[in-house]
Amino acid sequence: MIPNEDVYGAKSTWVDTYTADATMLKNAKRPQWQNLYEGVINNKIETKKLIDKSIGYVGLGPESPYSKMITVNPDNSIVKTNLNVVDFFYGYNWGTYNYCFRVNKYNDHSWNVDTLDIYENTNCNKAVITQFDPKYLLWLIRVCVASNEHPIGSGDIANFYLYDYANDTTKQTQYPYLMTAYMCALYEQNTPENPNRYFDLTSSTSHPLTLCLNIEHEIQNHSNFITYNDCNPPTPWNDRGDIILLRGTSNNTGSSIYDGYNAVYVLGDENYIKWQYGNFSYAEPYSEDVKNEIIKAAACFCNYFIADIRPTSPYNALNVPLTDNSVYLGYPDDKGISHGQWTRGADNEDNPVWSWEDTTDSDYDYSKAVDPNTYEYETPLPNITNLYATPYNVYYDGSGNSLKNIVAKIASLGIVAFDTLFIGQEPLSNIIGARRIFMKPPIHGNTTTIKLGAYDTEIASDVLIEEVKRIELGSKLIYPIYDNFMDYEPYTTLSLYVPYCGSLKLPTSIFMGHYCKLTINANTRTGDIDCIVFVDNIEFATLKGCCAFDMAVSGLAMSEYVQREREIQYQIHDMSMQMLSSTLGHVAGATISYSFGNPGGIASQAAMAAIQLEEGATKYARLKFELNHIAPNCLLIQKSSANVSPLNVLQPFIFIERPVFEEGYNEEKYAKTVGHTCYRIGNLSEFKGLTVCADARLDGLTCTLKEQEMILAALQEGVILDEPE
Amino acid sequence: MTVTFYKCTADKRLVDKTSKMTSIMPGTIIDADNNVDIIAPNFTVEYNSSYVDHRNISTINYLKINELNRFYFIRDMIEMPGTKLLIDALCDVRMSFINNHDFPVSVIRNEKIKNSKIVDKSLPIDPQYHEPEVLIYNTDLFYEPLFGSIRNYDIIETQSGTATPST
Repeated sequence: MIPNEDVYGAKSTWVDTYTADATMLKNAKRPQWQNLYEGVINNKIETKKLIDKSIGYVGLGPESPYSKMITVNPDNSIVKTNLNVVDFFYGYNWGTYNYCFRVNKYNDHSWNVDTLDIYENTNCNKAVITQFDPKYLLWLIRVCVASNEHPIGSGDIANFYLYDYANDTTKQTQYPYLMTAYMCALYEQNTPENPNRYFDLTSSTSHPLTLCLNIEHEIQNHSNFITYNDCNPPTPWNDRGDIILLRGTSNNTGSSIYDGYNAVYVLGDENYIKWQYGNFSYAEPYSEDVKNEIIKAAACFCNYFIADIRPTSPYNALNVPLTDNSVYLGYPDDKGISHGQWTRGADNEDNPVWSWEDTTDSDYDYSKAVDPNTYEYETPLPNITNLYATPYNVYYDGSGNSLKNIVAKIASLGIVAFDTLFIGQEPLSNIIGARRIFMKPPIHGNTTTIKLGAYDTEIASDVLIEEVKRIELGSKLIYPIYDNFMDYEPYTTLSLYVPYCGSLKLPTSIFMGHYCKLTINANTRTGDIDCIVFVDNIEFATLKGCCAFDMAVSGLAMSEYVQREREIQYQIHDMSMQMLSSTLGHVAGATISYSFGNPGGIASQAAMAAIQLEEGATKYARLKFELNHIAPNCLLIQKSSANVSPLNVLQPFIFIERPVFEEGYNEEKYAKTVGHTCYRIGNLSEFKGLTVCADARLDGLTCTLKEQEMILAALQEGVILDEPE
Repeated sequence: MTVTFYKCTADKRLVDKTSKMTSIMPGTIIDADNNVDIIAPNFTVEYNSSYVDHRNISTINYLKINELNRFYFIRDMIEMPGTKLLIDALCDVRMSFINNHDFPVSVIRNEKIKNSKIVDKSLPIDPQYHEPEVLIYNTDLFYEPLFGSIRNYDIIETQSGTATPST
């Protein structure tokens, strides 16, 4: 679109920027008010304010590394913001300095230049470019690579053309780290049909292009007019660069570009961006993915670019035609927004940018918001590896006899076994889980015998190997058989049933015409099931269920019995000893008593002895009785649970209810007498056959008001236009 | 004012009825002193006696008032003594105006164009009555069809000890 005339003047008033003696972008124009300073004094632009956005010729989609703003903290951590950069334009620097073309409240930290606000500098020669012909600009992508992660000197660093490096494993081995990727402008000095481009790697151009970014919203307390440009990649200094695509280091002349202030995204994916304050460099390992990101980033400007230049034809970018296979061209969508797509070679002629006479031919409308989101069309499940059974024993039994055999084995153990094998523990308490699972057998290995604690039951059993598994149940296409509204609610309804998990209503608005894919993640140890429902490859819902029930585990508390028995026996023994002791003690007491002349004591001692013996005998008898009648308690390890779902349908299915036409319906006759529903706006002459209108604009009719009303009523009732063939 | 009588076999909704019209005879409105309603005129027409042919006259159902350049449906016609007809007519705005003009319209139904997504409540379907059907995902995860048996196995978990997998 053509920039705002109120700000930039009519297109016919724009002046050339190119001068024959300068290495500049030919066919580029700028406003009649020339540079920013004059723009301010002519009241066309204001200091500290965003420049009029109509100057942007292509929108930056979220794929562009420049589309997002970040802030960089002094500790080099990066913080994303919600601020979007929606488009850009080019500017020109006059003069010998290559520096940031911006207005900044904290401008005193600009690097390489004086600290004056450029709007206030009468010597300011910064200009905005209002139009240019993209065929006169060819960007060359280069990379600065390093031999180690923190290169410190020119010996660690080298610069190459992107494909020169990307296609050469020797170079990649010598310099495996990527510091910076950048673009250098090659200006067409002749014509695109007969190209001859200016190119000098060793020095800056007289008027390097500056990238100026338009942000969506004003940033409070920070720069309002954000631009970004770094014409100097890190060493070697004799290598020229105009626009950075990927930056891995600070400017090593001294301070970082952005010393604690808002920085502009250099490469949007945080997996690639690294930032360092101060004076030391940082590089990232190079990979094929990074190369593709660089190409995509370059394509986001919707300009021509080239990744390789060699001194011999056909790779010589100085003379290579724009349809050469080495030449890329960024491809905007139908709204003029770039998403990193591109054409190449002869396909460039099919690119909308090819047909532009200049950038004002773009379809981009800055007033329409650029969707900042990137959308995905699948939600992949993570890969799972077989999980081995947990550290405690997990036994697999397909026969259904394991639990029975274990209980029988325990019951067969003698009393001695409880002391020596279980050391007072209840054998059954070593069983910590028993369940029946209604699912296809998991991976299991026939290996060992069942152990209860340290006791080996010598019952052979397989062991569970596969803790979880994923089963793909496949996809079903929900086919729209009517191919009209009847395929949707309330006419057609869908519901999904999954065994053990229940039912789920599936909205026709989402599933009709798409695949319903089911994936089950199952725990083969517990029987838990997650059934994941996908619409195509996007997860829609998860149904949860369990295809197992707990088996009751109970038995006699034998260890407790044994302990009780033993305890009684000890008591019996004690009692015996007490009784004997009493008898002897009383006899001794009587003798002593007689010796001391207490004949009455003999009688009482004898009587006491008799009483005590009687008591002891009673207790002894009671203990003996108890010993012979110990009733062991029941021990409940686990109750059983219920699950009747095995009796339900055991195949997942989608239940579809569809409407049915009444008998006698004939679509052709229906169309003739009633007409199909549609909604079209056009001139009446564009339609044929029976046509029913909602409304009409009756211009040009010379009739009375009542006739006009009759005409409208006739259109709403329906008219027949030209008998259809 | 003069009229032209036609036999017209077109659906009243047809805009251009020309191909369906057959000219029968001309006539003259003789009570022009009376007011002639331009929308629903009621008037007497006299025709030439050479056109007296009851077969033809009985087919007349359409006319054009030439001076008004409008076409009319004949709603009723009474044959009067002599060569006169008492006519009760209604203006056919389709043939008179729509036929010769083009203007923007918004169309909601059409014989040839169909937008399947728009609900058509005129279609003879009853949303309360459905035919059920199922799409089954064939899987043997829970059921073994070969043996007709429900899949099942037992898991016993015990405390301590180790189990060495064979794989």
